[in-house]
Amino acid sequence: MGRTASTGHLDLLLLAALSHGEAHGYAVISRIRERSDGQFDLLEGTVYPALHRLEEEGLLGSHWVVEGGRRRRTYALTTSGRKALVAKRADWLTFASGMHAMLGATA
Amino acid sequence: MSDRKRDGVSDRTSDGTSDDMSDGRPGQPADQSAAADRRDDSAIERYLDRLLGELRADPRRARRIVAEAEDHLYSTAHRLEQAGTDRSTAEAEAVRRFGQPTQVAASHGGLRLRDLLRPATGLTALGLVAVGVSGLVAEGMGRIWGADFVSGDLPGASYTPARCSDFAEYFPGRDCLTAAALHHWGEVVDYRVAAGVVGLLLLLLYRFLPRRRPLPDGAAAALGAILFLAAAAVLSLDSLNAATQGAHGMGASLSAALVAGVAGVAMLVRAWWAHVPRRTPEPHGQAAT
Repeated sequence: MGRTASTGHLDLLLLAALSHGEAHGYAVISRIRERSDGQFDLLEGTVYPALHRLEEEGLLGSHWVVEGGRRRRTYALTTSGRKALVAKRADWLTFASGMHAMLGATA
Repeated sequence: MSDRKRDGVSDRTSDGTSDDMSDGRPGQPADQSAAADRRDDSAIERYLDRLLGELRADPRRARRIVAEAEDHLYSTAHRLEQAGTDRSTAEAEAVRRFGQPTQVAASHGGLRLRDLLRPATGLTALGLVAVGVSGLVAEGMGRIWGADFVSGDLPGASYTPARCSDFAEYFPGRDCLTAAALHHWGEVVDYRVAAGVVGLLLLLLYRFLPRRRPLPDGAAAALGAILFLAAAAVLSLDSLNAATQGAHGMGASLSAALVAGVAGVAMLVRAWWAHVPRRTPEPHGQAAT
């Protein structure tokens, strides 16, 4: 997959990245890039609207910390976020399994 | 510096790479790094200025977006500098990776219809207040040049006997046309002042309406200028028409045209002022480089 990850699965990527612990936006993007072996190299500035939206939906919580004289917004999964991650992960595995079967049958 | 790592929470990836982004630059205390980052010629600072200008968000949300962008960009630049990239190249690369300001701002959402409620209320209120002020101007004109100047009828106008007797009730002892002019002068003033009072109430409502995503700088003022100046032009033509026919009733349009013209010019100045570049004050104590 190229530089822009599928926007439809961006939420799942962000929730999965934060399942490993709270992090700020830069760290979230780094985690996604590193854990996907570079497959998902997101356009960095457009990740923050997704983080904000997930927070408005109650799936993430955030707070300011001050480091190096600069404010940094740190995000973490909420209980609803962890449930949503479980559900989205299951949906994705079902989709991937079906797609794998389909592609495997026509290979 | 606050400790971001907590028990049970790992900031390390499965291959051991740390995504811990300390902002301390080599040889420099971390608490000085933020202040040292801000230079007038910084690509990141220019980017943040553009981003702020492109955002259509309420003030608090805009501040959050810009603060997060600032943190992200300087973190990226510092990481690249630590890898050996020079400062200017690092900042340019950080900005490139983040995305165009217009694109990033658009991704945070644009204007919605409800975002227009406050500016529309404000413009409507100003319009009604202008009508009210024109009523006061018409009152003044009538006192100086007479009711016929403000609301007299054009040559050839006439009223039915029943209508004339109505006028005579309000202004006994006056001929029909004079009484009609006096009556209409009162209506011009009263109705316009009433509109002005409604405008003031709307201004009060405007004061308490929630600020949503703002329009581009000067946009509401520019629209107001267009509306007021267009009204001034039309009303001026109307009063000119009356002037060519003996100036009867010229004041009704002229009073409105004057107020609309002044309001339009004021709006035009406000719209222009929103786009005048502001000189950035020199940082205190820093020598020019």
